[in-house]
Amino acid sequence: MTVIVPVVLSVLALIDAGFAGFRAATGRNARIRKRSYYLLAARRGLVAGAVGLGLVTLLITATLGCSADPGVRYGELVRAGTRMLQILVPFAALVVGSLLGYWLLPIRESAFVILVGLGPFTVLRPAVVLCAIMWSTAGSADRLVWTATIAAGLSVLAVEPVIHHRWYRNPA
Amino acid sequence: MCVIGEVLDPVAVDRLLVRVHTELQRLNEEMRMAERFAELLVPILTAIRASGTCLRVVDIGCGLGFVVRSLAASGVLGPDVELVGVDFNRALVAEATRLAEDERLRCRFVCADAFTLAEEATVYLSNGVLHHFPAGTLPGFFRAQDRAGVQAFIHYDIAATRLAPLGAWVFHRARMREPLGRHDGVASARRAHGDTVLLSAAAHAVGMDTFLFEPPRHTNPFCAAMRPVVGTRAALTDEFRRALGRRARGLAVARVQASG
Repeated sequence: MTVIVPVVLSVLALIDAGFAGFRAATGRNARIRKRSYYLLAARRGLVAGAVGLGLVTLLITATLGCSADPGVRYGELVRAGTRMLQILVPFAALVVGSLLGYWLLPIRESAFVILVGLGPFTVLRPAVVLCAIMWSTAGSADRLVWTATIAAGLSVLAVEPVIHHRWYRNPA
Repeated sequence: MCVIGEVLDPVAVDRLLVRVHTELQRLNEEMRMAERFAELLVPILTAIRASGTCLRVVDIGCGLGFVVRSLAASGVLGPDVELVGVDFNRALVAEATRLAEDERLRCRFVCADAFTLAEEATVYLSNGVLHHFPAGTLPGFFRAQDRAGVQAFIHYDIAATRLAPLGAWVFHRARMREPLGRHDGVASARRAHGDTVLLSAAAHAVGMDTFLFEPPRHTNPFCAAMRPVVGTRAALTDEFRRALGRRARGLAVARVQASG
């Protein structure tokens, strides 16, 4: 668990960042063929997500390095990460299921998936991240857990607005 | 929004409209509107081709011309079909033309009244336009399409269900950034016409057989967020049904009297 939890959280954060980059670019280019445009946007999101992840990792590593009991504090972080996954994994599973439904189902059924799945999930995403932060920090008195969790949550939520503001404010 | 004297700056208004329509295109992409039109246009054009008529598809109120440009890009209708987008707004037509030229698409856009074009349409279509008309003017809209040369029409619009305004709010909240677009999305769902209103109005195209295609009462109402009114010349209807195949079961025949 000591390795799996941070790895799964990192993978989730990076995938989410790729999609955040895609979302940041949507509604700004009215061309029909936009594959390369969206791939570039997703790459930008991925890089921004990796930078955020790197900063959080740096924060954790530096704090643990200066800590008198790094093993105990790392254990606290893993427990918090596990609780975070209890919220994020079911949500991610629902999103992945919706995406598969959208890609694989016939025209009208895929619209159904958009209306009851992907659309509402986009609106709910910040609230889900907020819930994950609260649930993971609940019961922990370690300031590193609080700081790292909030920093990770904010960096995840910041990707889309940052990418949009930097590259996609105006129509292409 | 910039104001000049007591009026809104027209340049700023045009820019805003282009931005909102650019965002709106994303919704059309997600709802796969071009595929929906192709699903009906291909069998209709197959039926018309058999009669040797020239094939010109005219999109009424095309905005940025997403449907026309998508159909041109996919080539799904065939090289013999001329695609024309018509809109009253010059800024949108100019942007649609720029986008089409940028991607070298075989289609054109005109700022005009779709019913006064020099060259007659074979098929009229529209996407999310009907709810802009008051119910009382819809019969005139459909009557105008019952003219020589016109073989069919397909007009997609928001299905007027109780959940439509809520769905529109969520969907526009999730997908659009411009406040105007978010507001208009919900307002459009509120003023969408019901199936009966549309069928009664479409019945004024007396030379046409008119249908709704997969309306909410025929299918899961969530899946019928958008549904079209379809009209075909009586001589084409059987061939259209044959070309449509199993999906022809989704055609709900108008059984209402023309009124108004």
